[in-house]
Order: sequence, then structure tokens, then C-alpha cells
Amino acid sequence: MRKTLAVLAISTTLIAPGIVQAKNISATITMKGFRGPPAYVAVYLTKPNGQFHSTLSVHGKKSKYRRHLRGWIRGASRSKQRLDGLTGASVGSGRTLTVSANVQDSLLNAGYQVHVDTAVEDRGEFRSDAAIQVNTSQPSAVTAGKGFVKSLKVQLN
Amino acid sequence: MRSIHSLFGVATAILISVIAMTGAYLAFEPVINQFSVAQNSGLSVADIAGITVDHNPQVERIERKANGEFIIHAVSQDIPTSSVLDLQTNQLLPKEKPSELTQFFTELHRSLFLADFGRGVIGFGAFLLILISYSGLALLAKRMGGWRKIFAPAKGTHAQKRHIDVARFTLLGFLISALTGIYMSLATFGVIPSSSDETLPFPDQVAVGEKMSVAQMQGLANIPAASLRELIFPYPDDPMNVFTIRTDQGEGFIDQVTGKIIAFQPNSLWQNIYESVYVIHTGRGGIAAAAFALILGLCALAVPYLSITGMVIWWRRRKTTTRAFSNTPLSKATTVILVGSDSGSTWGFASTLHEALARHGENVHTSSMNEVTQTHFNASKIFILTSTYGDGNAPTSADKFIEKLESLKINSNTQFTVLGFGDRQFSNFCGFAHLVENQLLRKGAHFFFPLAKINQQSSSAFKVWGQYISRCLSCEIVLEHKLKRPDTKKITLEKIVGRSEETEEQTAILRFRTPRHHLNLLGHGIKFKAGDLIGILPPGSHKPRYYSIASSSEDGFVEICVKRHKFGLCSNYLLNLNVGDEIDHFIKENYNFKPAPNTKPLVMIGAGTGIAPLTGFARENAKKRPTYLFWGGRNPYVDFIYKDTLIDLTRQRKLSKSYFAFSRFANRLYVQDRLRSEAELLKRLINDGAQIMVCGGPEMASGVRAAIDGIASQLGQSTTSLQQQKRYLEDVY
Repeated sequence: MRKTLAVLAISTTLIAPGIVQAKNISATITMKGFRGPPAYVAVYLTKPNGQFHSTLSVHGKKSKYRRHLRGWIRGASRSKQRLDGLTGASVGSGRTLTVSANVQDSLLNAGYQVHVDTAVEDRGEFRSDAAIQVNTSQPSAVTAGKGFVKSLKVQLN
Repeated sequence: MRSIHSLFGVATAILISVIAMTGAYLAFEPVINQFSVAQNSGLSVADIAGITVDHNPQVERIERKANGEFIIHAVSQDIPTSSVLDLQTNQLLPKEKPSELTQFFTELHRSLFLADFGRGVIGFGAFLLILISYSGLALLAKRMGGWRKIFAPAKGTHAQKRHIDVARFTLLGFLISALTGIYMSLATFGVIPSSSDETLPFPDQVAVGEKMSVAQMQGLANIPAASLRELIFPYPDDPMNVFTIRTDQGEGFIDQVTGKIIAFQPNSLWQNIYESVYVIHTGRGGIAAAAFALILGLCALAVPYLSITGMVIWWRRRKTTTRAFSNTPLSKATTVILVGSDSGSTWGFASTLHEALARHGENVHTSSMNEVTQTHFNASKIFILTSTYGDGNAPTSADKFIEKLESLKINSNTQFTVLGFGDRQFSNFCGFAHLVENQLLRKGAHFFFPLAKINQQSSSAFKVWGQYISRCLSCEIVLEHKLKRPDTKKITLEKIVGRSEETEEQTAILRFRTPRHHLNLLGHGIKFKAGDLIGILPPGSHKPRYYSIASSSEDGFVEICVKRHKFGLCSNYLLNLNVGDEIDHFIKENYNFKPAPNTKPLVMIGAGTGIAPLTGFARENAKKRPTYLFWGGRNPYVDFIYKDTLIDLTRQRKLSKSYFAFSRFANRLYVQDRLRSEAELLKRLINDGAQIMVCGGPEMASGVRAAIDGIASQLGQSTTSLQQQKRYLEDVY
């Protein structure tokens, strides 16, 4: 992964203030009611050409099951980005989850997208269950998911 | 060992039963799935991928299920779809959703709907099941007399026999399920590695150029379709991307331009082990695995059954051996009480003694005599309280004591005393207590008080014994024993089948009606066979009198034969009953006195009322095994009250032949004289493997013993050797 892009840090503590201009974005994911064990969820950014850019967060502790987050694993397995501090527990039915990150101003209107991949053991898996383009002209955008995600909301502030 | 078995068994019965039953349900799934799939042979992954792309160019992933089904995952108009590739028609068919019920049971079986915490509970349940199985096996080996004999016919009560029979034929099955289950559980929690945690990273460099058609890719053509797990297609708009393939061998990438494998990581040894364990546990992996899983599933069905029968046994034992006192752990005990008991009444006395000693500040431990170990024998004081079964035999909870005693060392600082419980009407009063005392003396044991005997559960005699003991030990022990009235049920006298023509020593056959609705598969409620005992409590008495039953619960009545004793409280009470009167009773199994379940000849010898269980055995003789009866009465015109019954049984060929001897008529013969005159017949029958069952008073029993010894000695046998083969059984009262 090219160094310039790896700078994109995820929490405010990871970014050195003053080096780059950044905005805080927050993604709120609300799960549908579903049966089975809690879902594995990955939230990540893709470049304008659709290729993986960086991980915002991964939920589900067992790394051997993360392969089922198919869109995310393709990029994440090649990425040198460390996942320390970006992981959380798997997400139960009907739960809401908020992920926030600092994003360089230069990426905001360039066609980057927030993606959510989901998988539930024996119940199915969804690459890009929901996705929203990051855009300053639309500081708050909502979309419905096609799998286990009920809605994905992205806000800039 | 027994306490481990009972404690864990009872405490975890529900959990283990839920795991087993859901597991049994799930065992059917792979078999059903297996038959719905046409098996493919000779196809490669390239063939499968080619067919798929022809039908659906938007395929993202091909998955091969363990039953051989190929699932095609695609996205059409942004909606994910799944379909099944039918290899007979090469068509894509819509995929049926897995049944909600199966998913429900899967989830319950895996985690009780409690995510990882539940998975831990399930794994722990499987571990307990193994512990219970092992302790059960060890108990069984002990009971049968060694590991080699664990498949010998089981002894014990109805419930015990069923528990043992079901357990030993299914144990291996559910043990395999439990062990593989634990393995999977440990793998889930990362205790055992199952697969490499690191995902193989996608390659950094790929070839540039025209994409190759999947059907022609050499990397895919070399892999048989049957070994495919998953083939993930590259995104159509990503030239950097590659095919990802997982097979039963490992995981790798295939370049979409060259069609060659560009990286491959074989499965680790741990992963291979995990997959074998998974196939055994789930049955997902071909027809043989599915069939095997079905067998395991059927075995698992035994688990709830064993839980229930186990709890019934535990509950009954608890009721009879009510140890209301707190037992000091054996290692800390300075005083040990060993109990030999059949009906549980001796346990009551032991418990009174235990409490009295404990109140006095002693550290007391109480066990059954069969549980004796060297540690028991290292205590400073040992009380042995035992009853006697029949004519000087060991009661059930002491029937291994004499044998065990052989290998135990007597500590010179240990002091013993033996207290016998019995009935003076027996010639060999407290015979077993005598035997125990003699064996201990022979081994050089020291006694702080000589053998004492309690007649007919006398509380006052027990109290006096306590005073002697106090003097001996220079302490103050007060033994106030209150007899507990046993739990009884009412039963109605239905019919007086026959009555002898005497007044002094009158005998009568009485039939009591049993309620029908009590029969069930656990041997619960009133279920009995001929030879079992009925305990009867005359009004105002706390002490039951036992009579042998001549019928079985299937007959719908309890038949007994009662002889009047001049001052007998119970016999006078019973013989004065009128039809329709109710009595208090309970049923007690007598499994030491039952005909062996085979078709070898049966020789039944009885005198007086001892005929009652014998006619019962003949009545149950549905297989019409050769059955001979020898009976001694007083006068054929006076006390031959079973005459009609015997004629009926002979006519139905349930009784082959009967021989009678009358002691106050014509030749004045006793039944043992009749045995001697039929010596040739008896020799032939013993040679044919006959079982001999004797029922009657102690004098008659010793006479019969002498007669049979005389006959058997000509064959190099004796009553003792026959007894060891369980071919000579006595019920002496």
C-alpha cells in the first residue's frame, strides 16, 4: 500500500494534528432483526476506482471467520494497515453501531465510498451490504442495506 | 466414583439431554441431503466453473457443500442470489432455503442462543458427559467384576438393568460425539489451532493481458471438482484481482490472465485434523459419514433416557439410604461405620449411631460395606452394622465385602465391633454378621466389643447396646432410634383363592387387586415379577412383614400364600381379612431370586408356603422351558391348596412335572427324600445346565442342600459351585 494513502488514520488520537486538514466522519449502522448468532461486520473505505483504501473498523473477534467479509478481506489482506484499536465484538440483531474517523479534506469529494460487509454464520454473507459516497455537499446521507444492514447513515462534521 | 456419577449426572441431566436430543435431530439432516444430490465423477473445477459462467456470467463465488452440491452465488441488479447447479441437466436451479427448524436446532445445539458463552457451556456439558460416562463405566466394571465382564447380563433392579443395558450399547456412540464436540469447542476458542489465523494475502503482482476463459484455465483443470471447497471470482472491473480457490488441500490464487496457480498454501496438520473431526461429528462429508452420523445420533437419543433412569435410581437410593447426617470425608474420619443392608432399615440404625457419635465430637464417616477400602480400615474405630439375607448370606450392600476383605490389611491400632440385625425365627440368626466377625478375627483384628445381635429391629435392644458401647469407650452415647414407617399404598383383597382345612396352622392363598395405571417403561410405580416381595404393615405396626409374590404386575394382582403362626401379628391379621378389606403395603424387588432368562431346565423346590413364588415362575414360563416342581406339604387332604393351580399349569405345559412329599401322610416323606428318589432325573437336569431354586423355611433349605450336594457330588459339583454359577438360588424365610 502506498505510503501517502496509509496516512489516513481512523481515530483522532492516531492523527498528528496540524499536519493535514481533516474532517470527522461518522458512520451509523443499524442492523435488521435477524436470527442466528451475532453478525461479523467490516466498515471500510474504497477509492474512486472501487479498490480498497482502508479499514474503519471490523467487528467479530475470530480472524478465521473474517474471510467471509468478502469485499473487505480482498483489500485488507494486502493492506499493511494495523487493525489494533479498530476491532470490536460481533453485532447482534437490531443493534446500532457507530464508527467515526478523521478523513483528509482532499478525499472528501473525490468519490471515496464507505462500505459495510456483513456475514452471519450459516445465514449468509453480503459483500457491500450497504455503501455511501462521501460528499461535503451532503453532510448527512442515509441508505438501506440489502442484507443484514437495515440502514447506513454517514455524517460529516 | 458413584458419587461423581450421580452428582454430575443429576446436576447436568437437562443440559446434556438438550445437547443430545438436538444432536440426534441434526444427525438426520446430512442423510436426507445426501440423497437429494446427484454425485459427479470425473469433472474438474474448470468444467464446473465453465458451465456456471455459461449460465450466469455474474457469478461471484462457487461453493461446494459437503454433500456434493454446488452453490452458485452471484449478484444480479445489485441483489445477491444463490442457486444450485444441477449436474444432470447442467441447469441452475433456485436454491431452497435451509429449514428454519434445522437452523433453530443447530443454533441450540451449538450455543443455546447465547453466543460464545453458550458455546462454552455446551463444550463444558460435553466434557461432563465424558466424565459421567467414564465414571459409569468404572462403576459397571466394578459391579460386573472386571472390565472384561462389562457385557455380561446385568444384575439389579428393573431401572438399573435398563440403565446398564442401554448405556453399554450406546456409550461408544455418544462418547465419540462428545469427544469430537469438545475438540471443535476447543478449536472455536483457540485452545487447539484449527486453521492458520492469517489469511493468505492477495498477490501484489499479476500478469497483464487478455483474460483467459475459466473453462480453459490449467490451474482449475488440474483440480477435481470433488475436492473443491470454494472458488471466488475476481471483480470484473479490477485487473489487479485474481481467482481465490480453497480445496480440501489448502488455499491459493489463480491468475486470471495465465490461468495458473500463483500462490498456494497447503492446509496445516491441525486443519486436517479439525476437518476429520468435523466430518465425524456432523456427518457432512459423503454418504459413509452421513450414515455414521446417523448411528451417533441414534446413540445420542439414549442420553435423555439414561438421564431419567439414572435420576430414578438415584432418587430411590437416596430414599432408602437416607443419610440425613453430614458425612465427614473419609480422609479425616477417625470413626467409620460400615453398613450391610437390604431394605434400608439398617441404614436407619446406622444413621442414629452416626449422629450420636458425631454429637459426641467424633469425626464419623459412614459407607456401605461394599464401598470398603484400605482407608476405611485405617480409622481408629470401625462399627460394622449388617443384616443377613436369607440363610446367612450377605445383604445387597455387603455382597462383595468378604471378597474385598481378603486384600485389606488389618491395622493393629484399629478396633472393630460388629452389630448384627436379624430375626430369631431363623436358625442361622445374624449368620452374615457371624461370618464377618469370624473373618475379621481370622485376620487378627482387635475388637473393642464382641458381636451383638438385634432381634426384629428392636429399638430398646439397640439402646442397651449403645450403653455397653458407651462403657467400653468411656463416653456417653445415647441411641434413641425411632423406626420410620415406610411409605405404603392401599391395596384391596380381591379373592381368597384357597384355604387349608386346618385351624392351628392354617394356610391360605390371597389375591390383592393392583391398580393398573402404574405401569410404565421406567419400571416406576408398581411393577413386579414372581419372587419379588410385598411388605405388609399390620395396623399400628411400623415393622413390615415380607411375603413372596406368586404373580407378576401383568396379572393385575398380587398373590401371596400365608400361613398362620400362633402369635404372629401379621399372619393372623391377613388370615382374618375379608374380601374387600384394604391393607397397607409396598413392593420390594428381590432380584437375587429370579429364574435366569434362558431355556435350560428349571428345578423348583419348595415346602409349605414356599410354593408361592415357584408357581409364579411357572406361570411366567411362556417359553415352556422344562420346569420341574418338588413340593413338600403335610397332608394332601389338608394343605394341598395349590392343587388346582398346578393342574392348570401342567395342562398349559408351563410345568413339565411335579413331585410331592407329605410329612403327615402315608410314607411320611420330606421334600428332600423325594429329591433323593429322583436322583437320576436331577443328575441329568444338572448336566443339562439346570437352574435350581429353593424356597421355604431354613430347616427345609438345609435338608435340600444336603440332598442336592449328595446328588451333585457324583457330577463333581456341589451346591456351592452351582451357587457361584447362579444355578442354585435360595429364598429362605
